[in-house]
Amino acid sequence: MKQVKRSLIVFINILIIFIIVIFGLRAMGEEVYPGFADKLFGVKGVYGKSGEEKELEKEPVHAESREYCKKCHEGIYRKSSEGKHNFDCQTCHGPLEKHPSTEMTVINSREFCLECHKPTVGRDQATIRLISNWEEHGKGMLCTACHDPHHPWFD
Amino acid sequence: MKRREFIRALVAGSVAILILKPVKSADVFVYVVDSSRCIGCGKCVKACRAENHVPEGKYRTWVERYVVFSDGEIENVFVESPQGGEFGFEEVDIDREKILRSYFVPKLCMHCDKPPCVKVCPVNATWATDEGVVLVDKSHCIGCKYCIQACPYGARYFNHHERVVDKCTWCYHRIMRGMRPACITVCPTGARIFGELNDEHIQSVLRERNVRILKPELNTRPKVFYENIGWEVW
Repeated sequence: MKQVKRSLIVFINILIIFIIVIFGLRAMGEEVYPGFADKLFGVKGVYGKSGEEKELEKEPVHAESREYCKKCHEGIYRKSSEGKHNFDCQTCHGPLEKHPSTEMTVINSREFCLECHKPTVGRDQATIRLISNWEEHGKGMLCTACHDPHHPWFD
Repeated sequence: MKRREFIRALVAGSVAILILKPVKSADVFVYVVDSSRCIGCGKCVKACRAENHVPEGKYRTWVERYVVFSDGEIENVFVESPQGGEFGFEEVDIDREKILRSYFVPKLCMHCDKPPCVKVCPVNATWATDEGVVLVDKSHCIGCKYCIQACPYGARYFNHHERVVDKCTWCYHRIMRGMRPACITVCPTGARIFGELNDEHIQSVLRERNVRILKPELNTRPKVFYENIGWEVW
């Protein structure tokens, strides 16, 4: 009878420990404890480096904004900010990468302009100037022959 | 150590854990998408691919087109996302007269406040940072893909080159340096807005405009808000 009683006490103790641990973790929020492996009480994990730091090692490919481009191309910056094409240079010119040492290219074709300006279902005339007769309008010519891409409208 | 002491230490330890429970910092980031301003040009998808080296055929962000039309009866919904909207959208084979409404919906990781993907990871390789960004640690991930199935928004993908699961990080390496995510930077119409929750502009948008979240019934508390979308967006 004594052994049964003892083993019962041990069992109940284990149960209590279990319940305390589980409730402790639940109280911290289900979303918190999966992060334990790398960070506990502010101490960085077994790998010596937190996951956030690993993510931060990546170098940005795009520039922060067009303020960076302004440093050299101020004329174009001013021209574009006055017109309707008042958005980031990298939208058309592509990512900056390591620009001063590498060349940035932009495709000068009708198809490139029509990526945005072609009328299609879901595109709203209130947001963007759609060229409804895009097949006839300036047929056989480049858009940039008449329209300055940095300040596309004549007025 | 005696048993009594051990139990006492255990209880004290549990209480200490409860007291030292980490508090979420105030500067949580949120993302607002204005669907009516999106023109479906796919510049964001291209920018994301360049910025994060997303492999071909996988998308951290993609654009869907919803076309709601009626055949004289109830509303029918046509959804498409050809190549994630990266190269624009073709004409749809639906009579213009029958179309009730149509719009583009840019999708990305919702960075949920209660992320279901984080709960299922067996090796703790994915977690939510203090800024509310859900990240994946590539050196911990074993590529079991449980999280891909757990995500109700389909935001995760499997990177076959590195054999790990990858996802949108809101360009964590950019936002922590004070920059904006690549998709926000290149958007020509300003359809995407990003900022801290206590940022003035974000506050005014959330207050004054009619925003909604996707799949609120799942209680995932997403931090990406949409405006001008209909009931059919799923």
